[in-house]
Amino acid sequence: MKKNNLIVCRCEDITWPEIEDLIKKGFTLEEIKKLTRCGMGYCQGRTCFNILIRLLKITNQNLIPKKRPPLKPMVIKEIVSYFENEKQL
Amino acid sequence: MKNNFDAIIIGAGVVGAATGYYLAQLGLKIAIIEKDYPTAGSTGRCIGGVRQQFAHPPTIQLMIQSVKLLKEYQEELKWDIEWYQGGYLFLAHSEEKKESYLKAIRIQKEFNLPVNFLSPEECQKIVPDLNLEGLIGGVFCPTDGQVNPFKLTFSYLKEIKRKKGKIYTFQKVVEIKVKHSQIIGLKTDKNEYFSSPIIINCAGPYAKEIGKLVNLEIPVEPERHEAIVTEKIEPLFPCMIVDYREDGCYFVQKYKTGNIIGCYTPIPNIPGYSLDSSFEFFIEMPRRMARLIPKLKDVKILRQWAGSYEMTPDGNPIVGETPIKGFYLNCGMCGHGLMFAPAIGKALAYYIVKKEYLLPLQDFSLFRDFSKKEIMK
Ligand SMILES: Cc1cc2nc3c(=O)[nH]c(=O)nc-3n(C[C@H](O)[C@H](O)[C@H](O)COP(=O)(O)OP(=O)(O)OC[C@H]3O[C@@H](n4cnc5c(N)ncnc54)[C@H](O)[C@@H]3O)c2cc1C
Ligand code: FES
Repeated sequence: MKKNNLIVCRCEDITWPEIEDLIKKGFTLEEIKKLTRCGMGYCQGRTCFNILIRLLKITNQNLIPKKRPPLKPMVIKEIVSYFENEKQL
Repeated sequence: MKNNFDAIIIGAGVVGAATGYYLAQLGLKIAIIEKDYPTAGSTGRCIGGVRQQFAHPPTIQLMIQSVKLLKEYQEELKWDIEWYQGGYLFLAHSEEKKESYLKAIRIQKEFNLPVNFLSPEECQKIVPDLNLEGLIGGVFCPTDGQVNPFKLTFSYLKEIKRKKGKIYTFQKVVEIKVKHSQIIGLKTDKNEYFSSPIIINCAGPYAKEIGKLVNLEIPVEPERHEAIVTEKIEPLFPCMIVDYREDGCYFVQKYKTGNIIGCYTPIPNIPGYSLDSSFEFFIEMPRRMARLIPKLKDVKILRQWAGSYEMTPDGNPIVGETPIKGFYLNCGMCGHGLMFAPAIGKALAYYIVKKEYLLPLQDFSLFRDFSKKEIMK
């Protein structure tokens, strides 16, 4: 596979060479996330982390950034209306 | 000897990194020991706000210094730390709140801070989409701002490495050695021994646990604070918006990316080390934000997370000496560690190396009277 211009993170537009450079400097996936925003985009790493975990053959779960709620982006209006319904109960 | 240092810092959060940066600049051979990776603690969980609007004069002096340093860093650290002076706007929805802000303004003016109490309409000039319902006015300081906590911490670390300082990650300090009331070294869970006559406790919410290793009681208690981030949107407002009502919140738009990031202080507070996400926060925080800026109703929430505040009895940090020679504290930041770090790191380093006071550190001493509270916590 040619990795030179492979886009790893589509949400934040980050390519493999950028990531590879940081890996060579000894940074962990968590640090790479914080330095490049890879995994901080719209899908919250649901696309790019899977690619990276495979490329880097990471098996140690502690080195993989944690998943946090919500499962997918949610509009505030919907969250608020849920809250208002709750209040009426 | 390989593991022999002039000073060792426990914790690679922003406070440890800043302290290390200045110690290395003053010529000390330093090491930082971090149980996880740098910024894994509170630093990587904060929302990046920097303000000078406090009521406690030493804290105002501290923050004026920090802002000055942050301005210079862009050049000095040779990395874009995303420092941006968009200001801080504290909203008043009651006469009582207004009074307490006016009182603080009088103190802040003595330090020449450009703070002013604005009418609701003037507030709206800064935040065009602000909901004026129930609003009496707000205090604005245009020289407050925001910074990227990761970039700031990693740029300090980069400079420390350049000065031959060492950063050990994924090693936890489990033992501190003291001989005749003088620090001599420490041991990590990897069974490595590091010797040094100086150890600085920059363990953030874990400061108390480090204290236990030398039988020293440090009054720092962790409290869970949650945060939320939205998708990227067009620029809506430049400043941190602070609503201190019981069901208030504070949030800012990252000028570089356009995400809005915010949190609130839960009532009652949630003591302990838990970093779980709560459903209550997930439904409550968006409501509070959209109440202040109704336009946010159409914006999406991407993620919620949690971090720890490191609270002291009076809401001020604990910095400086302890009864053990060579054991120093730089902790108890009370949720302001990012903004304190530049000036407080520098001040402690200058105190340790040159016995020079860049700031009134006595007011942040472990030996102070903890009964007077900061009102603009
Ligand atoms: C939601 C939220 C929002 C915030 N917003 C802001 C804000 O807008 N502005 C602001 O200024 N501040 C804010 N803060 C507060 C700020 O994040 C902290 O005060 C600051 O990060 C503290 O930095 P620190 O370096 O002291 O601690 P930390 O970043 O927690 O670093 C301490 C480090 O010590 C390590 N450690 C602990 N025990 C050991 C051990 N035994 N051995 C080795 N290493 C150890 C930890 O792993 C950790 O990395 C916020 C905090 C939260 C939670
Ligand atoms: S692809 Fe990286 S955050 Fe979505």
